[in-house]
Amino acid sequence: MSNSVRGSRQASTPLSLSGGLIVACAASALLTLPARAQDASGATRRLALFVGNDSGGDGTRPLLYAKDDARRLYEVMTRLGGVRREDALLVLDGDSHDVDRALSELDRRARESHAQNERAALFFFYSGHAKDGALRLGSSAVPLEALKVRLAQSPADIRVAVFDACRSGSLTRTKGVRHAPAFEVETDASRQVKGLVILTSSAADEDSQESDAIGASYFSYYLATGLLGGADQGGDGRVSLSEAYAFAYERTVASTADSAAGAQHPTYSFDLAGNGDLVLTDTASRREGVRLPASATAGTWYLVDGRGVVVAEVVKGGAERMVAVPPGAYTVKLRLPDRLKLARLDVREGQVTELDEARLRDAHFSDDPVKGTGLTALYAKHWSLSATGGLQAVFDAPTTAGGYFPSSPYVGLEGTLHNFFGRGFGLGLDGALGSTQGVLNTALLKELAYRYGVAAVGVSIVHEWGQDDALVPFLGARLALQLMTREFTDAALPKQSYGTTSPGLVAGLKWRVTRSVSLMGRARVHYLLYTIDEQKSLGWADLGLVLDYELRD
Amino acid sequence: MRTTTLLPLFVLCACGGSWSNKDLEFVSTLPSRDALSSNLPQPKAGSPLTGVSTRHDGLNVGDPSQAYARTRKASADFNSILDFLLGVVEKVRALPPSARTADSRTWGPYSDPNNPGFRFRLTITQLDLTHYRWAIESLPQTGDAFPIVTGAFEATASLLEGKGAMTVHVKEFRDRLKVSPDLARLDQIAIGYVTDSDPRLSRLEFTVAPGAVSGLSSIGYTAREKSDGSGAMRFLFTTLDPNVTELEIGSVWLHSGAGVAVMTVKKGSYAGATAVECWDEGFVVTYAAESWPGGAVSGKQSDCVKVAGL
Repeated sequence: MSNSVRGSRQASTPLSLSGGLIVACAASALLTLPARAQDASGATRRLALFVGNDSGGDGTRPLLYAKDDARRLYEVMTRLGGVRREDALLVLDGDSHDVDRALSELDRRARESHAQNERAALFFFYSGHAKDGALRLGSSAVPLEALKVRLAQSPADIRVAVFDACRSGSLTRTKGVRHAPAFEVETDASRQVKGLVILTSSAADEDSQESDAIGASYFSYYLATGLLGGADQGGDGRVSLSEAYAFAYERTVASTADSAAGAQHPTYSFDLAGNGDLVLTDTASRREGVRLPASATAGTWYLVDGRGVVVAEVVKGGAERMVAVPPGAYTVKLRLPDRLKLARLDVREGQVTELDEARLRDAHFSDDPVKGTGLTALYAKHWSLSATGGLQAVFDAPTTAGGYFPSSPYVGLEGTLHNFFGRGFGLGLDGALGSTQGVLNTALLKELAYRYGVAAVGVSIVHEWGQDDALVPFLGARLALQLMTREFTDAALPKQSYGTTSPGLVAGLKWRVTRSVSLMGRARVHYLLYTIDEQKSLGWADLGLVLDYELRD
Repeated sequence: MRTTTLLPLFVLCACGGSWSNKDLEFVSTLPSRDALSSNLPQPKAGSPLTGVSTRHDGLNVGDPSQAYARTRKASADFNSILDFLLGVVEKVRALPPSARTADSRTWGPYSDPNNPGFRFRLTITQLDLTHYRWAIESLPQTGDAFPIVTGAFEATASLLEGKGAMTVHVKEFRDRLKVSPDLARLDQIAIGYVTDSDPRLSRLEFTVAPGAVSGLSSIGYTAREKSDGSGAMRFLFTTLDPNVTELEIGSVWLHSGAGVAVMTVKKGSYAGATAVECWDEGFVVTYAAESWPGGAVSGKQSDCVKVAGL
């Protein structure tokens, strides 16, 4: 499967944690889940903001999975992380103002919790582009320095910020960052933690990468799958921040080691006081997912969803392991040196499905259920060829009432170079022929029968939304060269022709019948300037059906 | 304001061509060969008719009709003259005009291949809603243009139907342009036509230059044709027979081909005498009667077809 990088050209000026005391190695996680831990100061209310933006504006290439990363973490943290849905804000393809507003709202809620003698924890997650010292949200930017100050000054007692972006390690490198998965956890905490933890997906000089096989960025995927239980090394059904980070670190480095962009090393930094166990998710209390019994073969087990995308993985040793995936149908895969072992299983709501290894069947590597999202290929430049037919109507009086041009059916061929101008923006070339018979009638001429012909070639720039969806709306601009002729039954009358370039708009809806074959309904509206007898602004529209075949690798 | 708003669209629109309803209106005022020609039914291949050379003394029922043969030749001559006169018009009509104004269209000027140094042009001018005037003029390299053909048309039912006339001004150009010897003997050719009635009418009249043809100042053809395919033609026919030097022949025919000719001797020793000849769909005589001395009668007059309205 293809990888893509979360491109950023240059690391920004290193940022430092503002004004905080570094408590190296005392950064044991000190946050407990509200449902399970209360102390003298009361419960902890978990607040969370998940930000995902595929677009980084000028100088960046659109990402494929940033929004999906944010959605994935949102689902994990609201299912297993003790974050109530109403306290989880999801900002997808938003700008800096949206992030600012969301943070302000969460600050307000943190203060509200304090007023009710309740502790507050803020979980901030960002997946997207970072460039020149700022998170890039579309055409807007959030300076990293300012964001870090903002998080440090948040009224929440503890703030956990996760950045999955290129060179995001610049956020941590001036504060004793280590490329090592090491939080030291003190489990018998006596003091509640306060402060800021920052996790980044890559070092300050590294790109962060995405993968079609997992439909996510590596770091976010491993963080999420770790939170589902994959990182629960203690086997207690609770995944602490240190466990999640250690798992995400190890798996991200391993998965990217051989990639073209090079290994990607997550980083962390912290500015914490107090101690305790910072538990991020509790897979045991949910009691929903897949259990790998202690007797199951040791190794890395994968859970693959119906799309062929890996949604979770767990490295099993001798102990029982739980993966708290949401309800759904999965294929469980174990990769052996010479073959795969596969089994289908269903996870129902509120139930734990235990893997029965006896049900596994052997499969050849060519039957690997992991197909990936295919988005990289989908969004790659590729051609499609189309056959089209429709009806073109001119915005003019009927020729029987003195109008100039009749309506006409047409057939045509088209070629489109998808994603030629960036993701979703394609270049189209088309040609069509139409013909009909009509009657011309003017005030001074009685009915003159004629045969009408039209030939057109056009070039268009069209944007498709959601190219991976079954229904793909599109809209664009087109410039057509149109040549029309009419030949009268009365041979004494001259054959006439008219040629014009005609700008217009094109819009429609594509329905993917298969991965490569689509049917489209399309409308085009064009301006038509007539200049012979008079200067007259006309127009034409056509409604067409298009059968499209995409040529992909 | 509107123009300003649409300016970017105009820039994107490179337009051109000949698509014009008004052009069609203008060219429809020109006479067309199809509208003016004589459409006499023609014998099928293998017919025994071989034209006027079949004449022999005495005409009997069952013989090939001489009157039809003469009418056929006259019809062919009439159409040939139309072809000649309207040839330029027909060619120009197939082209888009070179210049357009609100009330005129101009084709050319084009080089005149038969007269180096001269060009010609056709101009049609709309005088009012229903009246048009047109002219083919020759343009010498120096000096004023002079008319070759002029015409006028009054539309009644539509521009395809009305009353028209055209005049070939032979006298004006025969000394300046190359012309055939036959044309050089004429001063003028005039055509009048009516296409909004049934039958439609076409009349050709040649005005002979003084002294060019002894004793003759004009020669004419008149052709009528009804929508049901019946037609008529009146013309002069000359022979070498001193008794019948010149015949005026008026022929009428049905769509089937059967017809009747009434011939009046205009010049010759039998001047004033008449003859009637009827023929059937096979163009053979069904009745013949000559009133001149020694003239014969063959067949029954009741075997003649009746052609009404012409």
